[in-house]
Amino acid sequence: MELHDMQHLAKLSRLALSDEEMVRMQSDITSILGYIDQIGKADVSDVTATHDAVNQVREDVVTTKDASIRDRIMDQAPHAQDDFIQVQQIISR
Amino acid sequence: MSFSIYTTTISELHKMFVEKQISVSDAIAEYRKQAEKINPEIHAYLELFDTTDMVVYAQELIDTGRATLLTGIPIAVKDNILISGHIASASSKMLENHTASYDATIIASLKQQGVVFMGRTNMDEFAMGSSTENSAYGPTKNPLDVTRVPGGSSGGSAAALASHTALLALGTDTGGSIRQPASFCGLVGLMPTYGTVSRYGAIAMGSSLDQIGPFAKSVSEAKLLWETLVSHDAHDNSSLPDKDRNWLEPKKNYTLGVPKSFISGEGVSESVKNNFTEVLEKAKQAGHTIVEIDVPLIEYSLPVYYIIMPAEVSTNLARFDGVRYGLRISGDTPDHTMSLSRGAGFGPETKRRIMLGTYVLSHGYHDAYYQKAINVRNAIKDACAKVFEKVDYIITPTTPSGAFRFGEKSENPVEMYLSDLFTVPANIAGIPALSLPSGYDEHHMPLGVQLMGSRFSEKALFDCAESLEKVLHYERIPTTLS
Repeated sequence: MELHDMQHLAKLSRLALSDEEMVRMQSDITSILGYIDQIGKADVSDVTATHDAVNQVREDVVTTKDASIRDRIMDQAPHAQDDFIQVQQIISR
Repeated sequence: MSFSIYTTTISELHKMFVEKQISVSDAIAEYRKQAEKINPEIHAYLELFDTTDMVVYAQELIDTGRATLLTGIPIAVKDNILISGHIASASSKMLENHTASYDATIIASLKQQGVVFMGRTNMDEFAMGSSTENSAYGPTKNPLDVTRVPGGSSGGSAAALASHTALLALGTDTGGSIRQPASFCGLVGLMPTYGTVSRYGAIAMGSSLDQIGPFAKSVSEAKLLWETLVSHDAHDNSSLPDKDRNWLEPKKNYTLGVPKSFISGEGVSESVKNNFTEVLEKAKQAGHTIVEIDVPLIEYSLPVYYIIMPAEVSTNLARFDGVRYGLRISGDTPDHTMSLSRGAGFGPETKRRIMLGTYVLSHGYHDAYYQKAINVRNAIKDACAKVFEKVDYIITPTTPSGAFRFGEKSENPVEMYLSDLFTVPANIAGIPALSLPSGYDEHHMPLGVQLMGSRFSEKALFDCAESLEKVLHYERIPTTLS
């Protein structure tokens, strides 16, 4: 892993890392990849097992009758006004 | 019989409550006193709760003849399980001021029975670690030797129980986070069958692996808490309907399979090997049959885990965006705000796993890592299912060594990961696994033995573990702070 790969990965991960953190991360990730790379040697060519997780779906309806939960959730938002969570402008004028 | 926080069991305390030998208030005050005494040194709890209302409610249940065995019993709760109105921080700066807006399903059912929550316990940040050294609020120390770790990630829960500040504790287990600290602190810990305990209200880490489970001082007490935890919950999409839970019934004797090549690798300490040999000998004396088994591909469990788990971590933790809840550091754009908030809110191990997960899921690497890991995982699940046609339980040491010293593994992530070598396969296969104390290592630190069973084998698992508990005669040594 090159440093510029790490910078790209940090960007994809939405993580602001200091230069120092980036260097440490590069060496840690390289050593972890060195360990997990052994997965390549696992021979599963004749394994037919399938255990794919199944999505469980439900109707998209409001089930919580207690409105105070909504208020408590709103209280957790760092920036909120009235009944809305405030977000930053995404599209520039 | 007189009350003692060190020796009184749950059923004994229940009897004392019912026979009016002691009030809930007086009993809880003793545990609280102990918690206040040990916590400055051990740091098992991030916060001790005001228990007044819970104590009053428990006493009312007892006085009106509505008590269950758990009424008035003190429990320590891991900081990633939501209790409405209390901070739930997952030991992260990201959630330092996060107040739970609702009760986890299991918390609600314990509340109903009048269980007394003593406080929220320290852990590795977002349950990522094996020593609690990754807590943003400082590590927890092992009550049996304060120079050593209590294990992790549920290290605070284990230390709280091992230092006699409660009679039960709740943890979560994604790759060994209940069983490994149980082993390091001389306790019983269970990771239940995937999908049998509701995770609604538990802060998610690796959703295909996470389970909530009990810590206790004995097998029968772990079973008591487990019985309350297992039920279907419509709020948790991975919760199995009751009709699909085909519990295996206990038998007289069990066949225990030893995956010899898997557990005799390098990195397993001599004292663990010797203790395990003794355990097998005693298991035979208890009437069980020991056979050698081979579980194909099981040695790939840990690399599989370190691909699938970070992948799920990177997606689960994407919810921390600086907008809805948690820490926010404002930047110029939404992306900038998110990056700054996460950069400041997450600790090093959390960042490592997010980066790693993003990598193994990224274009060009997905097939070589993530898809391959899923295929190997499926093969391991199949291999385990085949083994359980021949044996009742797979028996292994719980950990490759006893509790290690602070700093011994924290500088080398892979070294730390290897301490979960024997516990990870059960999470990979979605099967239940229990650790119980089996003796001591060369430093007089507890060791544990692990039983892994087929899905829904918990009832028989407790039965088998109890028979081992009887022959192992684990003697709880007083903690340095007793």
